Amino acid sequence: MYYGDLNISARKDKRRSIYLSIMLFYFIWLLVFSGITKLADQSFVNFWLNTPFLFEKRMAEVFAIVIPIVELLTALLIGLRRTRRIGLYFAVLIFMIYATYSIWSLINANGMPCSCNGFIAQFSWKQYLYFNIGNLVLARSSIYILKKEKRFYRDNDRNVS
Amino acid sequence: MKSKNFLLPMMAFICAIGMAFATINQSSDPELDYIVTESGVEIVEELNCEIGNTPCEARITPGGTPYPVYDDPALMTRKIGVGKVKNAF
Repeated sequence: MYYGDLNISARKDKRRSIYLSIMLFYFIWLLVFSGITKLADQSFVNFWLNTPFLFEKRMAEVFAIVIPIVELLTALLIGLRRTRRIGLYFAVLIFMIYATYSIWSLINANGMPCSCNGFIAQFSWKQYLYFNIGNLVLARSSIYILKKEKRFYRDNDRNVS
Repeated sequence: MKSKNFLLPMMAFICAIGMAFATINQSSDPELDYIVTESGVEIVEELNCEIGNTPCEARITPGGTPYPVYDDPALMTRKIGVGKVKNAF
């Protein structure tokens, strides 16, 4: 009996599973970290007050609360098995918006009035753009792997039955 | 599979919450700015120094000397802007 193909498939699946585990941990960590620091840091309202888009204080306050809550909800969606794929799509959307904003800032702003905390605060707009593009690629690849993994388990179940 | 569905997300949540609170900079004041003059610190309402990477400066009297603006009462964080001198009178 030849088990070669089965071994390769199992090995591939293990690699996919490890990759997906790392990605899930990373995205949940990043989004929760980002969301909580924004919620807890009072100066995040200042960031919105200083942007050219919004000048009204009430609007800035709304943005300063809505954005971190969206990040936390996305992390929660990724954390739950049933909503994982939707969560990853949300993450892709968030990183696309951030990347677009980074491009806009690179063109229009002279420097870095960063609302970010932790290690991200050290980034320039260009580095922040690369960081967001990297995250975008990782999130998209995670969706792809998640789809493949689901298909693998579905096929396996069919073979067993 | 169980670890990926429960343990891993839980660990990521706990790790992120811990790290977030460890790195928060709570010193900056969202309502007020602090201008350091020769005669002491002038507390003014939040100035809009715009987006930039140059430290913000402000005058407290018309045509007076521009002074450095800080974001926190501890005078640890300089306010960053486009380099224009703002009026705080």
